[in-house]
Amino acid sequence: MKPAVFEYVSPTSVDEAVTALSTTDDIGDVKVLAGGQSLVPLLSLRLAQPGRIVDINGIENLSEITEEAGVVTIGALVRQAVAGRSDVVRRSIPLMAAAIPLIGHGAIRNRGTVGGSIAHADPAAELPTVAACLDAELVAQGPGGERSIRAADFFTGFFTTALSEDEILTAVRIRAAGPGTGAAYEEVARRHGDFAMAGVAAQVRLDGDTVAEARIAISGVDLAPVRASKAEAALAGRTIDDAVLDEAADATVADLSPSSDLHGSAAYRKHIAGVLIRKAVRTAAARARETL
Amino acid sequence: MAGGSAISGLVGARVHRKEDRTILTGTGRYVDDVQARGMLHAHFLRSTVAHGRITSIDVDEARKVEGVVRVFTGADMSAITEDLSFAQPIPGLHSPSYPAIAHDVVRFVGEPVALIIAESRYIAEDAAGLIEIDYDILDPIMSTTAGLADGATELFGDVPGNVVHTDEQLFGDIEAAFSQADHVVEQSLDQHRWACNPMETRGGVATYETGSGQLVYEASTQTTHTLRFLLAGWIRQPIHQFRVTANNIGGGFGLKFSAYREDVAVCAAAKAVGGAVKWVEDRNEHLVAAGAAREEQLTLQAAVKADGTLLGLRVTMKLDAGAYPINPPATVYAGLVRTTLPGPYKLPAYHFQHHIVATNKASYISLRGPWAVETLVRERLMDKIAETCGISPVEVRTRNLITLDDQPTKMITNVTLENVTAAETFQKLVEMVDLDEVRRQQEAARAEGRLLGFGVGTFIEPAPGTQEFWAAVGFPFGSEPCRIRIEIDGKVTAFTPQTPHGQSHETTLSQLIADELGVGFDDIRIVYGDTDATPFSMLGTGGSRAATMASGAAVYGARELRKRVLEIASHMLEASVEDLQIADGVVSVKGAPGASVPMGQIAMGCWLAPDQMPPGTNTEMEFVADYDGEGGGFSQASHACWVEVDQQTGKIEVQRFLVVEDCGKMINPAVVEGQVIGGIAMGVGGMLLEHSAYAEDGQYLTATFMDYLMPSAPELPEIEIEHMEFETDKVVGSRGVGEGGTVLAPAALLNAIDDALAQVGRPRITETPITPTRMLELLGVIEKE
Repeated sequence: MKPAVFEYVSPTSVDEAVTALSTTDDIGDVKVLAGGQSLVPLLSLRLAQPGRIVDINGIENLSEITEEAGVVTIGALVRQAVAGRSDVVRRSIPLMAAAIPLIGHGAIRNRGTVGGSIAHADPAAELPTVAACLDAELVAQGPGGERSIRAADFFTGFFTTALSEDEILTAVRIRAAGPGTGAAYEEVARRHGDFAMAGVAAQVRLDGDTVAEARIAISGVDLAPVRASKAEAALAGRTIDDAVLDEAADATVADLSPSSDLHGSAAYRKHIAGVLIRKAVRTAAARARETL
Repeated sequence: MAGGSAISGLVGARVHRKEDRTILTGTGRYVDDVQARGMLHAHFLRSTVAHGRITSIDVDEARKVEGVVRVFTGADMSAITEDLSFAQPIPGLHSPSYPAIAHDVVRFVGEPVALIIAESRYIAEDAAGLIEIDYDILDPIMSTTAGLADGATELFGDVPGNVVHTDEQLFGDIEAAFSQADHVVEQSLDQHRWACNPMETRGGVATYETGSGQLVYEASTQTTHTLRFLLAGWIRQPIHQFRVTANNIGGGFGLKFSAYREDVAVCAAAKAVGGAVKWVEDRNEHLVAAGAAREEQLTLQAAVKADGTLLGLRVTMKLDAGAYPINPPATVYAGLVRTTLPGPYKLPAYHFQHHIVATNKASYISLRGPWAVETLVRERLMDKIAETCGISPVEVRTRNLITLDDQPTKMITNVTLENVTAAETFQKLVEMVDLDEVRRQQEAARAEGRLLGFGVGTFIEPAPGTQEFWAAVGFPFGSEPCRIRIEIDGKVTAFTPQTPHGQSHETTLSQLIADELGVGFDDIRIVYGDTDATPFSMLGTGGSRAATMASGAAVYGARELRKRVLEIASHMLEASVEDLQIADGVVSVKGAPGASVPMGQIAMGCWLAPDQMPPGTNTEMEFVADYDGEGGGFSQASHACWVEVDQQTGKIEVQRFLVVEDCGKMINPAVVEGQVIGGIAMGVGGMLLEHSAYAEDGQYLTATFMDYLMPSAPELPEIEIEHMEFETDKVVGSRGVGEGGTVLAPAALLNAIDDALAQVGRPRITETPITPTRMLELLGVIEKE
């Protein structure tokens, strides 16, 4: 469990980082190191053997959380623990605030970054699911400049994203939740801190007693986070009760075809996806009511 | 002095552990802390196939890597070592010998196929990536059923039908028992593989001194003397030129009782390169290759009377031994299960049959109470008998348990039970739990849609066991030595063959010696883990023997030296021995504190000028005691477990866990509690989380801690412990307590889950681990795949 040899570079600007990513000179894969919570174990097991590691921890201005014109921008290097404690995140992205305590353990969140988790795109992880649920915009910079990628287009498959090899994720932009909005993140993991067998991110905006907008995404049931559009549609304009929740959950679960592994069978994952949709939506709606 | 003197009163007190200062300040010396000048690093390349014939191996590119010192193929290694053989003269045992590094056939994913010695572990792993091996793939045997099937591929030429050993033994009139039965109660359990996973993995540093020809192996082991004895022959090292040492050891749980092929290869490599070679197994290697335990399938049939009285028991066990035998032979596990299974219950007739089967997996190893499945299946059977007979789990046990009044008596397996208080611990447990209230709470919970379960169990633990017990098992019950020396200044050094790796022997043996000799706790040092220094024993630390055996050796050794000191002091102080006392290292006349002589003065005289000491006295200030265990005995405990089952997610929460244990006289209650709590955590983790899993093609599925799930604090409740200290008339009334938590907790836990399932009309558990998926399948919420 010792990494293979790699070249280590530590740029101090995004431009330098992009240069390090794009001038590879037959060096092989280049990997970005942010919090390292996924990359370092992969290196140790030699499942990843990049020729170069671009350590972005020395880049300034990637660790800020700002809110402007109803949009929250989280720099790619913001540590998960910092985001979880941020007043801006708690107020304007309550879903992310609810999800962060479920990521691993304290030590992992102290080091792991918001951007790193999203760029790593583990389909069982919380932050990609949050990004998918909230239609986050992922800001990428490459040799040709900056571009913004919608979450729906960003997660392209199992641990794969729309980022090209010479691009770096610099920020995550999420629209601030308005009044009447509540959020919940519910998941089932084997142990406290494990990757979930399935998880559900839900954000509900209420207009009086009826659902003005519901956003739901599911982790752990496909190659990438799954947006539960049928459930969202089933909830829109309705008053939440058990029957409506059943309808929403059943509509979504019927479309899921998760795979089985040692920790949970496909049938299990499908089942708990339904359980968690009901639970997350109910909790999100209750929290929404509290804000009214 | 029966029952032990207590001048300083340390025995029985919660004395702070001597070990903690070193361990908690990070100043211990584990294998990976060893740094020697010019030390080289070993890395094993391991098989990626479960069963295959090596058709070619090319190490040329690996040898060219800068910093690589030597690459050993299997053939290279076999040229300088003997095959490992754990064969013993046991009738019917097929124990194939095997090379340190495979050169012909590989039989599990993770089997060593090459060894790289390099200037760093990084370089060694780089080189490993350049080795090319071709295999002809053979059919993998991945279960006992597959191994026993007609025409199954045989793993070894000398293990016909993959049957390592099979035997059946009959005790009493089993036919009569079943013909008299009102009910025949059947039960089966298919237990999964789970593993030891000590915090410190396997490993060692072998240092060969080319001038003297001496080899020193500093290893993470539970048995320095056995390791030396076994390795010497295999690595062709004269045993007098071979020293095995162990310093701090980060846990063993039974795994480190055996010698392994990696030990052979590392020691042989050090000899071949003429220097120091370090190997520390990384966690990935450990999970894949170190071996795992507990994979057994049992079926039981009990003949019972209408009132729940046990008449007879038929048991069949299949044990998945993995590919390669280790120490002890698998027959010992079968013997332990067979001998212990009747437990503290009256059982008039018993038939036990076992099949030990070779499969394409890492070795079946010892794990904290290697016989534990006997308690698991018996205690679950008792609950099923209760259900069948319409009585409570408490009643069925009370009706069948052997009480103190019944003893001495013989188990049906020919083991005499004496001073066994399992029934008394169970009675105490029942007194501490309001069973009616438990049922009321369950009803109230069900009304709210919640599901609570409650389970109990009881057992005996052969810690240390008796001569009869170990004879029935087929394993030696050796006596235990301890060498104690009063140093020239009156301080004390004691040498034990125990190799403590979490059991606190430095503390407990110091407590005992301090009380016996009247010297300060801090004026005693316990020396362990050095074959040059400690007395010989084949057993080291294991089987929870030390509480009785090592304690006894220390007490008897200290008493002999105390006698010598007092006789000398008696002359010097002109007082009779009976009138003398020793406190804080000073011998004085009782009631006349002025008349005293420091033990250091006596010791100095004995060491420097024995001729001038009082005539007729024994001036040897060093003594080797050998303790026979005074017949040995058993520990016992009863557990109660409360669970809540989430019917939506299948998650099981252990809400409360109560232990009533009796290990006799506690030397240090804090140490006892640490063992009990850790043992229960391991037992609960084993049932709910830990799984050493293989795919059908023999690939290993749980090669990191992301997939092999160890229990952590949030998964466990506070463990409540009630101690009973049944005292016998033996000098050493302390019994082992290291394994009991792990042995009994699974039974109480599964009984609690079964109780929950029964409340909603669902069937019992027949397979482990109890994952959330399995739980929802049992609850009928989802279909089984």
